Amino acid sequence: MNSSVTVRRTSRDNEVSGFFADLVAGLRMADLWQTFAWDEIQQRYRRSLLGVAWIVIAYAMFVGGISIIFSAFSREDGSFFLMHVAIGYAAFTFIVGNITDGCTVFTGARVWIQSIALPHSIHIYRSICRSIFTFALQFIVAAVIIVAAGWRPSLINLMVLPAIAVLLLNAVAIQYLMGLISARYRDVTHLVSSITRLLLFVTPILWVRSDLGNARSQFVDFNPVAHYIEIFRAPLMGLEPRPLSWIVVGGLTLVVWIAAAWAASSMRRRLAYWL
Amino acid sequence: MSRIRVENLCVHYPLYGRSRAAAGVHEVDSDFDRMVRDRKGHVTGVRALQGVTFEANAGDRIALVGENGSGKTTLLQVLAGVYAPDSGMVEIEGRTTALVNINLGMNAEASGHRNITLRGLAAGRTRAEIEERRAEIAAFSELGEFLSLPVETYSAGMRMRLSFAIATAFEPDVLILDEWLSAGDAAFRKKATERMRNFVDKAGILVLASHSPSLLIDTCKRALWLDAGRVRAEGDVKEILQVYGEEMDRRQVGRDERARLQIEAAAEAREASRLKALPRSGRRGPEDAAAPQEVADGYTADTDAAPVPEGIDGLTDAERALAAPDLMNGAGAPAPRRAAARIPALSHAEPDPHNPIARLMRRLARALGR
Repeated sequence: MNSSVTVRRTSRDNEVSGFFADLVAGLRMADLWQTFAWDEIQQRYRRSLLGVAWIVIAYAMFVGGISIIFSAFSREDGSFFLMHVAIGYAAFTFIVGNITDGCTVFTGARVWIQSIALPHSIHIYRSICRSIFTFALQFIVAAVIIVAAGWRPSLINLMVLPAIAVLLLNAVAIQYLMGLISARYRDVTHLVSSITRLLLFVTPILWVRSDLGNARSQFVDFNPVAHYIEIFRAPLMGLEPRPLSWIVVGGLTLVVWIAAAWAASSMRRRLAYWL
Repeated sequence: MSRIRVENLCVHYPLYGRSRAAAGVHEVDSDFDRMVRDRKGHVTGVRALQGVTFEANAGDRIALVGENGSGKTTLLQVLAGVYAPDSGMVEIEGRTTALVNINLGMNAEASGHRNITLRGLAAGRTRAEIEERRAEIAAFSELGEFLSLPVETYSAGMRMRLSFAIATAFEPDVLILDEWLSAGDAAFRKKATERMRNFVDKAGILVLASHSPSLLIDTCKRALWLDAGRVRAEGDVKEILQVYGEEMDRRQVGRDERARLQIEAAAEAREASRLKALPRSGRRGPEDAAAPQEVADGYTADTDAAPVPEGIDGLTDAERALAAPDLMNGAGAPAPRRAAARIPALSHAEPDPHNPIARLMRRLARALGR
């Protein structure tokens, strides 16, 4: 639909290069997925008085409420704990949100996938665009808290930039992978939602890792989400992220991309049938 | 320059667990060879297209005819790029716009104007180009102020007007339309037909699937007749429609006959199963005689009586009563009323002879009833 050149489709198309071509073609249609994403955000808050401000309000309420109760269990002081929760939970919703949104990224776009031959990746970008918007609003709350806690700019803060880049890179692959798998196997959506509920409690957001004993804190290292949050949160709090976290995140990024490319190469062409 | 080339195109429509259980019950008929089966004989897919080959060049207006389930829509969806071919090749030169399903390709919660923007962007147009055409689309669709309302408030005809107006406004080289064009009123149909003609005069290609001979003759020159996923014939639209119509009349006669025979066979089988089960119910009190019998009826496959052919569950309660009149009336006054009270609930449930849990439940119910 979107090209004036010749389109040729056969049963023997190269699917791996097709996957990357799909990602690039989708990226070029930025205007379309931004419009889609903006419509979706507006629709969600349509006819509510405060509209998008609810994202900020809900987030401030959560962070405030949690900090009042849970900081009592921590050896860290109150402002540290508040920052810890505010940044950590924003990162957590973005990372885990990509997994849960990924489950519906293609099933929710059924009307478009079954009617127009668009690159599948535009639905991925639309979904990520929307979660970035939410993340940005939540981060405003976190930024206010950081400044109020007496922020002193330092070079280590800049480490957050590569962390954001890596999170976005992961988001694309995770959503593509989860989108394909859950379109084919619908049970995955339910599995993911039951795991994410557990993840909120086993990830160092509501508690601080250093408060745990030695053995328990090593157990946390088996939680990949903890590492993704660590590389984003630590530099913002003026701390150096542990090298282990970067190693784990780097390795997982590679794994996720390989898995996405493999899934796309074997499943992408059948997607329209599954919806 | 626009061109469509389709070579030996095959598409298998996978079912993924939908309606697998019913597969074994189907009798073998002319449709048999279109089912893809696994080793156990369960249907895993449908051969929607089996080796379709055709070509269309600039200025061609092709009518797609064929009975329901012959593969017309699947072919259009493959041309639109929605479904990938399982084997064979599809090559399209030129910008393609497809209107295959009226409910698809719109954001129902967004306004008509917003959907013009979305569809324009999806067609690869810039915002400037979209704004340039907006007035024309609004005028052609004749929707007026409705364009600022969400599309979900539109009627089917209004949606169709908007879809058609958008699709043709951006002047695609290849236009693919499914039969829903007939949802429009006479005035719009005339307008649409004219627009399709103009479009093809600009060296575009039109592929139109429809069951309306007048629409096809008005719009198209050539016709492609699809039959069970294969190209049955290709040629002048009037000739093809003539031959197609005759063949369909012939087939319908055969089908009516077969349906009549199936209904008769079903009635016979019911009668046989009833007679066989009668002595057993005789053992119980006369009051209970009717009710358990009716319970068994819906699920004949599980009893040791002869299996009831497919279609029996489609019978209404009245037909059931007709098929077993003495049973409904003979067992005294309270029994028929009780039977009538139970049947509706059961006839809504889908008897699935292969469902092990349902079989277990039936056994339990029968054991408890004794």
